[in-house]
Amino acid sequence: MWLIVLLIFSLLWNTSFAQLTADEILKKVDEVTYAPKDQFYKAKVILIDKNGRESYREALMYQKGTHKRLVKFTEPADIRGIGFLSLPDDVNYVYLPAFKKSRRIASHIKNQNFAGTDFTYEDMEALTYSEKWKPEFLRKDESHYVLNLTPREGRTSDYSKLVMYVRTDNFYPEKIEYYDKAGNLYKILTRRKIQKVGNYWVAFETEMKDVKKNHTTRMVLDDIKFDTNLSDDIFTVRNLER
Amino acid sequence: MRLKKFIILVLIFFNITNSQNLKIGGYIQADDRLRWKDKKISWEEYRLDLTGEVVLDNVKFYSELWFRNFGSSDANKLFDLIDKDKVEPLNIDLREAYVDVKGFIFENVDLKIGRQRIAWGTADKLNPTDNLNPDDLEDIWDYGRHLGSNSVKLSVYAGNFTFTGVFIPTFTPAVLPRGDWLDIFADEFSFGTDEKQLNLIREKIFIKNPEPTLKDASKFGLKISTNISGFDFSLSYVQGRDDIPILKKVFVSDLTLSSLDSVILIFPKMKIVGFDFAGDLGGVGVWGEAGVFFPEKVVFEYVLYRLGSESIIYSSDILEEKNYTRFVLGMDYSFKNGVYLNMQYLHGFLHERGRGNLRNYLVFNVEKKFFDDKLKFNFLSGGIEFKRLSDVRNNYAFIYNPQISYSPIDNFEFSLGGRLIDGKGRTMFGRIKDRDEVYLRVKYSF
Repeated sequence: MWLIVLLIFSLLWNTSFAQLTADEILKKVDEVTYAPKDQFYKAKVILIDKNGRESYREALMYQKGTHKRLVKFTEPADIRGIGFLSLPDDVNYVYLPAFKKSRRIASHIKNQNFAGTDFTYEDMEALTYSEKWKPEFLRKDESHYVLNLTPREGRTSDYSKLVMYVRTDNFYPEKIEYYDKAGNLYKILTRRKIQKVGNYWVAFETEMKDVKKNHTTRMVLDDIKFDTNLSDDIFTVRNLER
Repeated sequence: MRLKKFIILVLIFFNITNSQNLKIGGYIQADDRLRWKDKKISWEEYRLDLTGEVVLDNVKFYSELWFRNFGSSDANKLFDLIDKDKVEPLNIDLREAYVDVKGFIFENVDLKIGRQRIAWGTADKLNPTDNLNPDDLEDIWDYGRHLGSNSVKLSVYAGNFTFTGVFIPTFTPAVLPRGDWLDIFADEFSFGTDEKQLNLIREKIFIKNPEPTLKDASKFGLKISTNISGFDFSLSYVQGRDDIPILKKVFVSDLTLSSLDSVILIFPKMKIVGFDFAGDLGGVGVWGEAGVFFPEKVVFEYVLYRLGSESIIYSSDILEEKNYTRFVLGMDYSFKNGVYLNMQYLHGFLHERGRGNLRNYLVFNVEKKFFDDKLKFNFLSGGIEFKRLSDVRNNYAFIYNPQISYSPIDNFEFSLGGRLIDGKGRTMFGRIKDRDEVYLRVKYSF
């Protein structure tokens, strides 16, 4: 009897996931990706050009919720001290130590690469996937849900669509393909070393490959901290300029 | 003994570095320019920039020093040659040295004391509201450079508002352009003479500094900043003296230039009300900045003295007690093909005073990066100067300043560029139309 109940329950469980809509999957992706109230990490960024030559960046990253982010570069010397503050409603500032002041940056910069990496300012934007993208279920393979994402009405993007590979076991978006306006594959984001730290899943290595330029940016996280009650003061121009 | 001293110094250095969390950085830069017409070196500067920073909780100590050599020698006499400071002069410039306390007494108050740069304004390098630090016009092509000021700055953060107060107890004049580049300001410091005549009388031009009292020499500023509907706004007030002198008196024995005895310049008092904004309009970055200047009246006196008889004084208002406004409107945009455009319209350069004396400038830069951002080409960069649009054919100047910058490795940048200058009539940059130049700049950061 118990075996039958278990079988029915298991069947229902599988059916319920199989019946998840694309919106529900993307919402779960957001819940996993943006689960911590706040986070801090040190990032080592490795830039690899088409000839395999490597150069390095190091940065400190603070994030609170989904809409506040502060990045401060610590290496190399020629960009040391440069900071980038992203606030809700597309309000962004960059601090340039040479000019001793922060500068407001407009949204035109979204399609530009951030500090020589393969991430654009749009990729760094503090917005949840659900807020920006309208999902469509493409397929489910052995270990992934595959979603097709197009910009929601009223949202602009430099990409025509994203194809997202979401892990079925934990809803972590393991791979994202970015397509340009002409519909050609432009960039591939791959997340590796996905581990659970406390209650949260985190990818300790993220790679963005620009397939057109054959240039890759690999970001390795270190000293990651979640839910340390980061103060709102961190995400201010006052702190950006210090 | 020497070795002992050296070891002690090394130990002290490492001790400070480790125990105080001292971070040392900076760059070395070589900047050489060649005047195209006569193949003369028009600028030669070798700079070591050294910064030191210690952060202890909420307190930051910061200093920045420039060590510079300008290539040329100051030796003019035989015995100057035994003085290394004259043969190979080294210029030391303390740019900043301050203590910055975050959360001073109250959580929302910051206090910054010491020599510091206080950069106000939202425009790019050309800021009519940036009037606290003295202008550093030593290199006229490095727009917007200022000296640091020994000052106290208090910032109070209250919700969406920031209130800033600055007090600078002593007066420091602007640094004027080095060498013969001073010619572009000929009108300001002489009386109808051209730049060649200015050079003939330069030894006879004197400045009268204000009395070193708080009443006469101090400067203060107040600013309130906020963000409304996604736009940043600020309103400011500065009271002090203009750091660029103005003609006050000329003493002559007859009406010829050769009889000139002396010229006296003063620094007029000024009150400046400033306003600026910055934001995003449909993806385009926009900003604006205006400084309304309320000067004190300056009466120019032309004193004709003759031995044995009374002097005759001709006087006229050289600066009226009427306000005038310098302003900037700017925009920038990044196109999808990676081309970046930055354009600013400026009414009134930083040395121009009085309603009728403000000229117009259109400054632009169009650039694109190549090879994973390693190569940057500023292919349309420069400016146009004109007094009135109706008279632009007879009164204009333009500068075309293309530049290629290449960074083969991190921290290293190599820039090669040129300046083509032309003009007509009596314009600031038109005066230097014969000074087309090419330049090479190499910078390594550490």
